[in-house]
Amino acid sequence: MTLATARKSVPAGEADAKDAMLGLRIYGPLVAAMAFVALALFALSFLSGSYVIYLVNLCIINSLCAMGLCVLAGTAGQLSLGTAAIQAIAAYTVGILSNHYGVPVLITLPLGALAATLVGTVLAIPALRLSGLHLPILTMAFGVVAVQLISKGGTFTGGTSGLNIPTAEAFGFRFNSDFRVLCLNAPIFAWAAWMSWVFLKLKPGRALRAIRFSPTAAQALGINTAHYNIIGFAFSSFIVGIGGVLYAITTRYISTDDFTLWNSVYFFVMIAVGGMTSIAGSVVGAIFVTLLPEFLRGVASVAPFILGMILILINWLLPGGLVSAFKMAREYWLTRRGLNEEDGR
Amino acid sequence: MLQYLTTGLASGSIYALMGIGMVLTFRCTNVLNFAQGEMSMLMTFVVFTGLTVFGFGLTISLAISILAAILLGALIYAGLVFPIRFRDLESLAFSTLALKLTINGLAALIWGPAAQAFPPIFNPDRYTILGTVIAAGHLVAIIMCVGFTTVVTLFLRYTTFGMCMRASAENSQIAQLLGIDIRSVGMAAWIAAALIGLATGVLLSTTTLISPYMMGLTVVKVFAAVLLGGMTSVVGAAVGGLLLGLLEAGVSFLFDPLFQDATALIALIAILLVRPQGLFGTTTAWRA
Repeated sequence: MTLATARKSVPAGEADAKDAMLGLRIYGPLVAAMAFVALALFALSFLSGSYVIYLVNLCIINSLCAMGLCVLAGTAGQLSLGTAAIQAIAAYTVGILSNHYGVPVLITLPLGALAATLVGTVLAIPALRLSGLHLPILTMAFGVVAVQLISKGGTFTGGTSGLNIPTAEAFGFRFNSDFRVLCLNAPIFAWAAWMSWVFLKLKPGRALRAIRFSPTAAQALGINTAHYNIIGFAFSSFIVGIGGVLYAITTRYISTDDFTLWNSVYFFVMIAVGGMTSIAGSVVGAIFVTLLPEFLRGVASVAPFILGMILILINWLLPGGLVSAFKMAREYWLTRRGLNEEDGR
Repeated sequence: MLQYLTTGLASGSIYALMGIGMVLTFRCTNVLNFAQGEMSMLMTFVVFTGLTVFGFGLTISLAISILAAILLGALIYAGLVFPIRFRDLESLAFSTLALKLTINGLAALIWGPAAQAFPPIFNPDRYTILGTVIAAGHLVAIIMCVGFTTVVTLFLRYTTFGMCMRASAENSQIAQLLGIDIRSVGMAAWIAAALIGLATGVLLSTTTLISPYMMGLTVVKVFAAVLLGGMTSVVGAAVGGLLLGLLEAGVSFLFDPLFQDATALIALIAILLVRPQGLFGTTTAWRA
């Protein structure tokens, strides 16, 4: 039964009330998130010009990519190792359009995200119709080869020396300091996080979870698995693409060293720390991984090794990430009090 | 032309050897090994350290690194794979991805991220055959690939332990019921993979610089080669590797060396679209 026929069966007034409730439940969080962003920006304006603002920007960018990966790897269960390459496509779209064709940077913002979506979708078509481990292999190959080709692209892509990105500008306002860029990044981040949340709440997200649980059962329920997997991949690439565009705008310099296979693996560490399936978890993971080298100042080169060990341990002991650790602690606590899971709810 | 052919055969041999390592671990323990390249890199650095830092001869360095490779393979199987052996394929593959990051981080920490030159180990380091110059490392790679494929195939076919390996690759639970010790099978597969890593790493480093990131592209090509041949058989992996090496040589001969690296990706997409089980694979592409 489709939504339209379902609506017909309830009285008109009731349907309106339901629509209003649905609207509140869907758009309410967006308003709340934007209000929070405004407050946070106000608070951070006192730190304007400090290194902290730059780190906040980096956290936002990495959170975007982790969220994109979370939609795909966490919800749909598709392990993609091409996240950094998708990010690179978006960032280089910005770089090439603004450097060689004189397109204003802010206009390249949606174009970069769109390019990433397009490439991601095309890439998904051969892999997602097949089972299991084809996707990580194909996306890994894509990631490594794409970056290799970019680094051999001569002056068009900047080759190995990279590309400088012009300062973003709108109506004479130049996004030339870290704080000003943050004023651009933060609302976009809030909007993208809300989009991902809605995506996972609505039909595509439910379909992807069903497919992950059992592809056969999902198909029996009439879910077109290939179709929804490709939608999931496209949406994921879109969010990652936004991350790529904002990376270019924030750092104002991109090179192929920023988008290696290792970066893709780091995004995995981020969502694994947070627990693979939740948007909030991937943001927490992204913040953790981004700030880890800062806490290890002086011995920052230990970071990859530590992240690898963390990934091994999480995969071994806590396949659900830190979120599942909280769940386990809660269950333990409930059992000690002689209650079971249902009583606790 | 002949020059391209020998180079293609040589790099194809490297892909084939590493591919055999991957197929062995995949068939015997269900683990798709993302860390094969890093195992290889680590073992190369062990030889490198023996040769340059401690000043041992080649024989002693190789002997030490063979012991190290056996230890590494056993350690990975016992510490990483065995505790989670009942998990699904994704989770197992994921743990080797984490291992890749760990080994790479460790190597960058110990030996630094910069590229270094590996001391020459062959004398003379190039031969001229039929008017074509071939590097000694390449020649050894080709010979080793042919020899190793034959030996492994014969071993799997005619020895009792090889039969045990094939049985547990077919169905590890039934193999266990029949009294096969799948732990020793898995251990043997991972040790073999580490030894193959040692051999390929050293052979590669005779013609290129070594660094913790030396295997980035090669591993991608090995994956492409393995899927080309089908994940199921040793011969398939060997043929897939050689085929990919020749394809790459052909592409850089006919078009431009720029596109050489894209060949693996295009071959991978083509094989996934046309024949997902690979050239030599059985009808089920993956064991679920």
